[in-house]
Amino acid sequence: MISSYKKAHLSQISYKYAAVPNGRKSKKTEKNMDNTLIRTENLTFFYEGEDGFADTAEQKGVKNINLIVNRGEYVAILGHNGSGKSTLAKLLNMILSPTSGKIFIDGVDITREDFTEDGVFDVRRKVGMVFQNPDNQLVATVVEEDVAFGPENLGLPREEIRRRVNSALAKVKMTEYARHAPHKLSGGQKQRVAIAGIIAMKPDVIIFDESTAMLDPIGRRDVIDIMKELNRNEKITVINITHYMDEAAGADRVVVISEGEIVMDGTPREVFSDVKRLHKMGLEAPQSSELLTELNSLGLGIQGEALTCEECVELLLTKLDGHR
Amino acid sequence: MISDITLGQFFPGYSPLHKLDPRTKIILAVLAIVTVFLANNTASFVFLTLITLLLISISRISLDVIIKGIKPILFILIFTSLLNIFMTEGRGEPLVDVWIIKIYTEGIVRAIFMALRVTLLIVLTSMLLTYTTSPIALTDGLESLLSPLKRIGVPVHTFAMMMSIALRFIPTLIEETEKIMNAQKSRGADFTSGSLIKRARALVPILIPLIVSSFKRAEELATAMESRCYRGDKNRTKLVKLEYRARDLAFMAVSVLILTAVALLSTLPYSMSFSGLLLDIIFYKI
Amino acid sequence: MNEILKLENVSYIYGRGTPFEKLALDNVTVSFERGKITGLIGHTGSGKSTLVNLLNGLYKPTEGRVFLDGEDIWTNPKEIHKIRYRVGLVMQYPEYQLFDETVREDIAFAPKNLGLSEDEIAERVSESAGFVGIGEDVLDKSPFDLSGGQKRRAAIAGIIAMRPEVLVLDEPAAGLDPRGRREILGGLRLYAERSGATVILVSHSMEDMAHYCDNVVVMNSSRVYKSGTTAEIFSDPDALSEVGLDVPAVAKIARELCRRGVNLTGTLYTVEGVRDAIIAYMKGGTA
Repeated sequence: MISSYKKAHLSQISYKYAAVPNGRKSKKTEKNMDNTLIRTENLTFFYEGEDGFADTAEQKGVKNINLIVNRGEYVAILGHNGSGKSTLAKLLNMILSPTSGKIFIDGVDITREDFTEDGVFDVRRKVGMVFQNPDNQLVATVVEEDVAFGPENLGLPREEIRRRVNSALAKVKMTEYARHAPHKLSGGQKQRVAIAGIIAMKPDVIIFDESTAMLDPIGRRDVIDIMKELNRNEKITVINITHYMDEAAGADRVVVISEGEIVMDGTPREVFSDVKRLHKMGLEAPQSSELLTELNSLGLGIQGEALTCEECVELLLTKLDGHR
Repeated sequence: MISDITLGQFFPGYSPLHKLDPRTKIILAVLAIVTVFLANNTASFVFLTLITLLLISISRISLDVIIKGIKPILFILIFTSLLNIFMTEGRGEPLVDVWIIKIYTEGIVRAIFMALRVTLLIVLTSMLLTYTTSPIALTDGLESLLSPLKRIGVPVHTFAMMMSIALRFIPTLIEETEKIMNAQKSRGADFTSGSLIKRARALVPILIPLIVSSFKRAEELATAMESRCYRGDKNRTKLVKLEYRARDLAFMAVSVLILTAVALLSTLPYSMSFSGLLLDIIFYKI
Repeated sequence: MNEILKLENVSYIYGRGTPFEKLALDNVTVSFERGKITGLIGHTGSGKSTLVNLLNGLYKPTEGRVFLDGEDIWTNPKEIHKIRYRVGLVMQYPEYQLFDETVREDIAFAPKNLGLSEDEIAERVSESAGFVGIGEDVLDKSPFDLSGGQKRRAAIAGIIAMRPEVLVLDEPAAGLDPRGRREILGGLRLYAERSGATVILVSHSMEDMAHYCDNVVVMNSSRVYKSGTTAEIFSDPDALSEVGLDVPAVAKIARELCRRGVNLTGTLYTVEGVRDAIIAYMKGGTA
């Protein structure tokens, strides 16, 4: 079923080729009419510069990534450490430039050679990023001044910055900490401030690059809740790069990356039904899926998938009813 | 603990002092330094101390914090005071004359003045600058005051940004140093005993991890800043606009008055001055 | 119970006498069983990190006493560094402690501080590298060239090399992916079995607790909320959710099945345990 999903994507790509007129190469930015926000074409990146740097143990490249993210989607990108998932994020935000392949953001080819500095600026405004270590992304010594950093860089008028800062802090529920010093906050709170700093730039998509990895369970839950709210209420596209399968389970769609390549792409239900494949890639599935797979491998033949405990209980009961 | 040091920290608040324009505060701090150096007799020092206490109460920063801020320089204070007491030769009879130790009234007075001068300097400048001004506002203020230098090609914005980032990361690095120290202690590292060379070498297991992680932090921070559209001060606006208000003018006017008052007080002839009277009462009439 | 470490009426106050004074541990009495893996869980701020720092004498109790093998560790405060060799502490994100030119040298740091002979040091380095799964080829690399998971393991080896009687680890698997977690925690399990050392494991992951620990201590608002065997602790999910902690998803599934009339018995908090219980139930049912 996963391959069928991929096929659907491929057909989408070819459809778009047909739809876009030949004027693609013109310098004018063409507005795309459909729902695609991010599209990559055979995107490849190696950590290999002229001075002979190769992949380090922690930084891995990506190869032949064909990914489409639609406006308003909530996508989880799942992969083990060193799978290349963070590299992908940095490519989309133009922190890295691809070795080969193309990236289209909002219909604009950001990989073409005559792409201007202002273009880069625009991409970074549209594609916000929240990183892993909350300490290393806050610049200011007062919460609200940090949130203002992005809007200030955008050159917005003062009143607009103030409005955005206030509303962004409210959205991450940190208004009461506006005048606090960031280093006195908990990890989860710092990360919420970092998110506010991105929201204040009004991006189309926010990429969370393992933003919950260093948080405790409460901080993690808060950040996940904010991701969901932003997606649902603010219609912001969310890409959550993670290795926690429970976070992925709550997404609309899960893309699994292994060794720099997309290996699975589908709904959480589809992806997590293939527990054995996930294990091979050093990942796990939610315990409910793991349990069903274990039982099925002993020949129980339970039909269907379960992402939640409730679903799993219902499935098991139908199987066990005969034995009561 | 290292993190207990309050000197140089910012205490957010909403006092009138907090609300002053950072440029005003930088100018006030310069005036304060001049004023403190002008003071040279009891009258002027008593007056300045009262002004300082008033400023502390305006700022609503607790005395505890202020006292803690002085602690790190306590040793220097005591040391210079002792030097003054023992090294000053006075005109009259020494108060104490034991063996080679001679203590004169002037020595004691001088020690008190010296200690007061250093304390007032530290308290006034940290009150005006670090305690009540966010480092970002401070650097904004400096940037604005120094902006004329931009015309002759000085990268004022870059320097200001560097300074504010440094300030932002000081607490983080202090925390990190403590963490690393504890980790190496848990591996039996000993930082407190042995010869100087041994102790210096014992710092290697702390310094290397600290440097490595600082580089990593710097890199990650640069990435994060770039991805938040940072490109120097090109087209950059500010959330906080620096604006002189009535309050700023009032404070400036008052501080010029204070400066003048201290200057006048310090010109009072020694014998006629309040300090002369006080000294007479304390040391000669008993 | 044969206890190796014991806290008796221990309280700890941060920043005593300052405006930031905070009671971090409130009259805690708890003991850790010799040769077992004990899990320590609780939310941030529950006092578990403070507890960890008290175990090897990095902090001194404000009140109460800490006993190692029956002896008060603070009898002679000047000798407290000797306690740190006996109770090895692996801090959170321990990779930041790496500093030496090679992994080998770095692991040798603690044994050198212990004043051991060259031969003894070499033996300990290869032994502890073996426990955490670091191969000979990796030993001569710079610790800064390793992957995240390898760095973590090298740092843990740096503590194991002291051959501590008790090994305390604060979230050793934080930030690692499932494979990395398994390698670290599985390695620790193996280490505990082979060396006979006692292990105390701080973790936020209930699944890891259920899978790797013999006993569990639950901390909440500066006190010990509950302690017992893993089975005891996870058999009462309501008590855990009362303090904002969760049980593993399979434990919830097993409990709901029981409530709906499927009487499962066995280790009902790991995937394998619940699987076996269901299989046993089906066999019992059909028989």
